[in-house]
Amino acid sequence: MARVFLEKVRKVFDNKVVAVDGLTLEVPDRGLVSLLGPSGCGKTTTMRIIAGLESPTSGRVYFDGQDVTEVPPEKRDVAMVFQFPVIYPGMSVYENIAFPLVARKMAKEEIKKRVEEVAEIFEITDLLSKRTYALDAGMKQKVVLARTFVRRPKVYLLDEPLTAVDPKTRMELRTILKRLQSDLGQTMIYVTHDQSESLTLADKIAVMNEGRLLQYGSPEEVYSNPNNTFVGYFVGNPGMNFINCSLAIENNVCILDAQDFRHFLPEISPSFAREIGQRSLIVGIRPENVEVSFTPRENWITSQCILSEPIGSRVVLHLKVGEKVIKAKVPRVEVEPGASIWFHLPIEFLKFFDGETQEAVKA
Amino acid sequence: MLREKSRKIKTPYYLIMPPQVLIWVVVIFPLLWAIYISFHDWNPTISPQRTFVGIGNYLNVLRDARFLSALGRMFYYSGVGVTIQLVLGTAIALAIVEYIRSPRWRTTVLVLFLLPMMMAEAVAAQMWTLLITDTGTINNILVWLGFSPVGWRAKELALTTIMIVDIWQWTALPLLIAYAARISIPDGLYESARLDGASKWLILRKITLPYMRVPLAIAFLLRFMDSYKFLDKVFIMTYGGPGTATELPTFYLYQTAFSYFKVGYGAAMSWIFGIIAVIAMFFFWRLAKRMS
Repeated sequence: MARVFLEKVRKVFDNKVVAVDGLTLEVPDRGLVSLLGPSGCGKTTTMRIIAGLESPTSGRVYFDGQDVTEVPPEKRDVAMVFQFPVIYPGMSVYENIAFPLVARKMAKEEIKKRVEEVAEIFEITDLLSKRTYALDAGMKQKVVLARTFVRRPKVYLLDEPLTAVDPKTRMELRTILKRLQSDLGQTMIYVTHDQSESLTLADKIAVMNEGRLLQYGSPEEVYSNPNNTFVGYFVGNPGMNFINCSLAIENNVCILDAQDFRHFLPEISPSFAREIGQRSLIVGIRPENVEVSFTPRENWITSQCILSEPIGSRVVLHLKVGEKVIKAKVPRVEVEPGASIWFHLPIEFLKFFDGETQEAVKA
Repeated sequence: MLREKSRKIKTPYYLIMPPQVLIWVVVIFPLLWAIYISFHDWNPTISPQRTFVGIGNYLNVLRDARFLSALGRMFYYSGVGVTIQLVLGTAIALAIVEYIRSPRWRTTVLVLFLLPMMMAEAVAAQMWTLLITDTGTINNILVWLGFSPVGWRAKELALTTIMIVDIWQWTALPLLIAYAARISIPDGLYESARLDGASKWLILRKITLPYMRVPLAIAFLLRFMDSYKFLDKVFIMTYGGPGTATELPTFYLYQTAFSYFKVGYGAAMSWIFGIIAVIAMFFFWRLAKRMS
């Protein structure tokens, strides 16, 4: 249990590659925070700095208010799981899991008890006596996770632990991790580039790109109110639709003018439209919030379906209007390519971003 | 047509004939000849006559106290010497990886350690012979430091002295192998172990050494084979003396066959010595296989 605080952490490799750029982040005690971002955004470096495997070029790291920036990893009492399972060679599964306890010179009976306990949680009891070289990646990662949880450290750092694991084990481990975190009430930081993992697991999500923190908030907040277009695009499957547009006023009614189509927005007050309508805007809407109709509707936009992508029980329709393509995620339906479809962008789901800065425009 | 076909069949045989002939002439025939000779009593300097003695030569070798004590010296020399080379080489390799971060410095230090190995055995032996005489440089330094001079080539110490010189020259080989093995261990293992709170000692015992054991077994095997056939330094530094104090089986064998010209006896001895080598190699091979 610990509160982790990063203060203006910056890491530059070889005097030229800026991996983390002035990151300030507070991970609450007992919180499960997910660092989310594309490959190379600095999430792993951030984790390694928290673990003590890298020292920041500038900035400080605090655990419970105590500066640990100079404390070596073995003294920080953190556990880290890497993307690819790190198994100690030549040791059995039992010896692997027991290793951190052996390192702490714990009594043999206590070690046995704890290893068996954790093996049960990860459902690997029957593997305990086995050698590790024959295990597949999923099983190996289970062993590694068991080794991490067996010692109950202050902070758990999980660096894309489920990426190298097969989908079935991934689902299984996700559930176990979520349960363990809520049962143990431990501080956990979870790095991933898979936004669905972030949304299901985390209490709070920190979205990063190019070494910087773009947004930090609850999954709901990050999903519904992205700070900028990157967050909107990166979180969600598929990401937000973005349409370059401007706001115009005709007959005292606000109109969204996207060149290829116009959309009436009677709900928007003309004064707001006047205030923000002067500059170029980007309007964003999540595909699941786009409403579609297979018959003509008044004031709805006519489009042509160019592609339908089934995703489980839903289907993503690619709707073409002029040069623009809008994605709509709807309950599964058969649509012929080329079919006419009418869609509507409900005002309550529209997010406005500045065309220049890509930052959200607050209403 | 038929001729063409038969020529085609013969071509591969023509192609491999030169090496075949060479192997038969210089390897297989001498081996068979040595077996034949080993069943005879023969001293070519006295008479071309060979007397058949059956397995008499073999029985005599196994009863020969001089041969058996040479064998004992060989096991002391190889066992202790090679073990020290291996331990020292591994320790230096690990220290280089642990304490020298800059790649340029690492290369420099490695090359320095490798230099003795690049020296011809005879040159190294000659150089050390000059250094260890009673009034040689080493003793001068010892006296200057306030110690009494050491009789490096005295009966009790001579074999150990040769062993030390061999360690000086050949520690670099296990060092090189250990270095290669150590840098092939993924960093993730060390990072994970450190985060697990393992001490340096535990990491060495549980991760580094288990990971390196096969390359180290191979290094041991290579050095053991070299020390088994070891002759040059004994020949140059002590010529087996004082007395028989540094007489290794190879040297005794050489003496028997080419100084005393007891050729049949020498052949029997070389076969016994060879068979011991095969058994030892077989044993090490099994061990290495089990470890991997």
